Amino acid sequence: MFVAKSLNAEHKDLIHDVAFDFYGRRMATCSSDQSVKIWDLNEEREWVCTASWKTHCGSVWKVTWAHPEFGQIIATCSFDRTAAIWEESVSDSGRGIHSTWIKRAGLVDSRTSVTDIKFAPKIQGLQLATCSAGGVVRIYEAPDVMNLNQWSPQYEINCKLQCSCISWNPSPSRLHAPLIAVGSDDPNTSSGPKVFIYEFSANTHKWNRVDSLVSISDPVHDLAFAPNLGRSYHLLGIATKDVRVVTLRPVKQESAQSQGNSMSFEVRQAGQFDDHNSTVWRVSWNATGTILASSGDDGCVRLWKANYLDIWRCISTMRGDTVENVAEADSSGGSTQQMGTASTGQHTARYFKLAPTAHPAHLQWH
Amino acid sequence: MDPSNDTAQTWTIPDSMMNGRMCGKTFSLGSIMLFPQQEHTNYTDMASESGAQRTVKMYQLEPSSWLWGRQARKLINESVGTFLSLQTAITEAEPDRHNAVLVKKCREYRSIIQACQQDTKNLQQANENEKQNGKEPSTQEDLIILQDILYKMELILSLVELLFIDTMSDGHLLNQLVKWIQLHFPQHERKKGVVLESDRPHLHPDYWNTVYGSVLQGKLDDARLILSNHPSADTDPFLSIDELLRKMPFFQVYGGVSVGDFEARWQHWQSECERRLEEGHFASSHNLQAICKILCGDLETISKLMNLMDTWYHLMVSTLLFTKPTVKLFHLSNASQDAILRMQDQQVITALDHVLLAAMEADMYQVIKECQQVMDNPWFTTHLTDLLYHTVQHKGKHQVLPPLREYLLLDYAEMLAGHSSLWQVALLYLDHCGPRGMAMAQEALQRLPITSDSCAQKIIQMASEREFEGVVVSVCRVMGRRALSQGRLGAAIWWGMRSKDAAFTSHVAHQILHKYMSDGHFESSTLLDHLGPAMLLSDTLTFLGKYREFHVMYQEGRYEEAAALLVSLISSKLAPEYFWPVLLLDALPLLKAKEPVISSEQTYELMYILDTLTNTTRDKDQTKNEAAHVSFLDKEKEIRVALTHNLAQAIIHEGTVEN
Repeated sequence: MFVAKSLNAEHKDLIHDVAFDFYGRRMATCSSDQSVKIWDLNEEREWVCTASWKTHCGSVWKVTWAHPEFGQIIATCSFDRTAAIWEESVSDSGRGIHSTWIKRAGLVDSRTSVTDIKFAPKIQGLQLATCSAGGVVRIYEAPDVMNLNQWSPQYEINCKLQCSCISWNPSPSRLHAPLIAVGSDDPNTSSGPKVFIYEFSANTHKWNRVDSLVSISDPVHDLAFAPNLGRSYHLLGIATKDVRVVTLRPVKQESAQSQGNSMSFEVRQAGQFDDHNSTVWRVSWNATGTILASSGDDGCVRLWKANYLDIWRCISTMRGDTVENVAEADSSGGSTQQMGTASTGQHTARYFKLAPTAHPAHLQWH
Repeated sequence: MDPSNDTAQTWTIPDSMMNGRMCGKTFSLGSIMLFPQQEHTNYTDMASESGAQRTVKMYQLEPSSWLWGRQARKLINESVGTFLSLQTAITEAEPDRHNAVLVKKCREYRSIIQACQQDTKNLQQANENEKQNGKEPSTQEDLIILQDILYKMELILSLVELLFIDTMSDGHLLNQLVKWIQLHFPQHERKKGVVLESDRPHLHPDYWNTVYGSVLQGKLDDARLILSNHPSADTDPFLSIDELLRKMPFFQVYGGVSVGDFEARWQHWQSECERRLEEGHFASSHNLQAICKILCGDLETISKLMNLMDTWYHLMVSTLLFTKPTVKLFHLSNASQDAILRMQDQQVITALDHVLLAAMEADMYQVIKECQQVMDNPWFTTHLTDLLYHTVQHKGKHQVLPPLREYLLLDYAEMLAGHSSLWQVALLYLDHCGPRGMAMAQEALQRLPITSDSCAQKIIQMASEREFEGVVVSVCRVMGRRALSQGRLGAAIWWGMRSKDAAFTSHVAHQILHKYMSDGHFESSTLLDHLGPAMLLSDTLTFLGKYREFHVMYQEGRYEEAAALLVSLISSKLAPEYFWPVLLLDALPLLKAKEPVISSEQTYELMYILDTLTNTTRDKDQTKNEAAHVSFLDKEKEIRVALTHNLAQAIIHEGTVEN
């Protein structure tokens, strides 16, 4: 069962990304209208836009939040070949708290569109990875976490293929070296694997490519490591021509020469699903890494979950309706909608129940 | 296609703007934000015409379930108590007492469900009575649905209890099944009352049906009672049937009769029934004849009374009661299939039937699986699986249940953890989920929105109890950052110290010093006066703490100590350079004291830093507007005079003392 509530997006153009802060109580949206909007959940659990500003001179592809331990910080990347770091500054103007977002740094090293940007897990400090259409992955770091004005480009990795997406392995274990997965949407299937795994070696201070997923040669549009809660292996969700779930199990290399600095992975495909029957554009995990959401060209968003035997299956599908059968209950906020006999009680008014499309195989108890 | 995908449901967003490409982003534990993404992006800037004409909406989806209803809150809160006490009781109990513990706990769960069902019923009836008060029909409907779900859960759980947990001897099983039927089909019991209270019971239209119903449920005393109200109760046929009913043997677990003996007695009794039937004892009354036929286990007669039994499982138990008194678990599979066949045209097989059938087939795993498919939350399956896991635990290895139990516990706990007021319950379950439970507990704690200081304290307490150091530090850091951004420097220092974050506390300490320089006030001076050993976390913090100490000494008139401290602060290089002017200004009154409190050595130190300071100030041409800095420039000359004056005095003084 799901209940839904709606809000006006307010962007003037296509929304490219929505990102939530660590607690899921703040939301950032970015759009082709070159702006970013910040939304906060108010006490009535409604999303209220608290800031909106022009961030770039081109479409803003992605937006991402830093861990709140570092403060209220977001990073954006854009078609204008730059990435930027923004920090919230709160001032009490007497008439309520006012928040403004201040540009702390612009990252201008890329010569092509910056297609994705992600903060590293907090255990690695304030680090940021970007990837570009030119195929370059850059890792930046703010050496002094109290000074966001200084970001130094630490590493540059040339992937040789245009990059579309990047993900840090969020494993909180210190036993795992920092790991990054990069996806390429190069349309040419003959150009080889489209997902690369890079691992940071503390000994050589270098990022080394430790794997390329040979099973994936179609363009990859999005990928995401699952949050790791006590698993011994890493889980990677991939959006390509279908949905893939891949496990990476670290294998210690036996040879003494390697000194444990080159980890190799046993890569296994835990799931491959063509339910979307078309290109899959985005994947995203919930906070515990138990549910994967995929969005495809068939207009559906599907939720995937593994059972106790680690067999993945689709648990829900969401699709839009062609018929607009929702009466607009209000014109201003756009947050209140009623459907059918949905209750009008105080607390439930903002939500409406979603109607399940009857499934013949689903048994009802009542 | 994977058959397990069949359970996936499709949900429709009633918005045509979403009828194209849309994108879903998960957040928190189970929420999803959907937003439209109509065009193909392909990383080229596009001139846009979309969005302008129509309002683009985003949709937030949250999982919901009857378990979130107010009625179910008791269910959640009480079942966690039973769950926890079960875990301890089972580890403490002797192996041969395990079953007794499990039966007790299973009954506790059942009574929790029953109580909830009763509450729901009362509420629904209360609502019914004041319907005109604008109560919504949908809540009423929800309450009825909830009652139905609760009833079915209890029905399943009690069957599971008697089939898998409370297993004693073969004869016992039938008794248990009969009791189960009696409990869940109380309609004859109710009718009995109505019939007996009527003026002339035997003329009541339900008279005979109630007798049959009572017999079919093995309530033979009830049947005899009703029969005794018949005007011809003392005629031979009535006395004869009464004797048969009275004499029917029931197996007693502690009756001292072996199963074999019992079976022989029972056979003897039934052949007596058959004999009397054949001899025509009841030829005068077809009603009594029907009763006797039931006693003889005549399937046709029993089947004819189908409408008194409603379900195939009632039919099955009633049939077994008069045909197979020592039925064993492995017979039930066939018996239930038979009963369903005999029922067929009268009943559709529902999801509930599948669950019960799986139980009759002694397939625990299938029971859990079937339950899982019809429930929109894992409350029931989690507790059921836990019970079954403990039941089979000591009876040898079971491959499926341990991982399944952990999976379900995690699933249930995850669901609770996402709820703003139930996350503490989630932690209690996660304590019993091994390493993955620990990991999820840490994650769940960290992700709790920290809405207030007391909320932060609560999280820290819960984390400390479980020795989640990382969580404690993380919460403190977040709180510190928040305090800093709100300008609450004292609180920021406090949180920074708790998280032992040197860089952060230094930063805040600098801010406090700057603030002091500009307005001459200390943020949270009491806190700073009681830093204790924590001040050693960073140099700046140490300086800040010591500098406060100096103030205290000065105020208390301990000038000599204060002077020594002040000079040591300067000479140890603990003081940040921008703060030197303040220190010199602080030294001024001490320098001017009648009795010299600053020694010549110390005066040289002060003169040295004054010199460095004026040089650097001139070099860099700093234009600091801080109040302390301005007044320093004003008083530079005065300080110089005071220094020379003090030096002279100190030298004389020191010379005198030496002599």
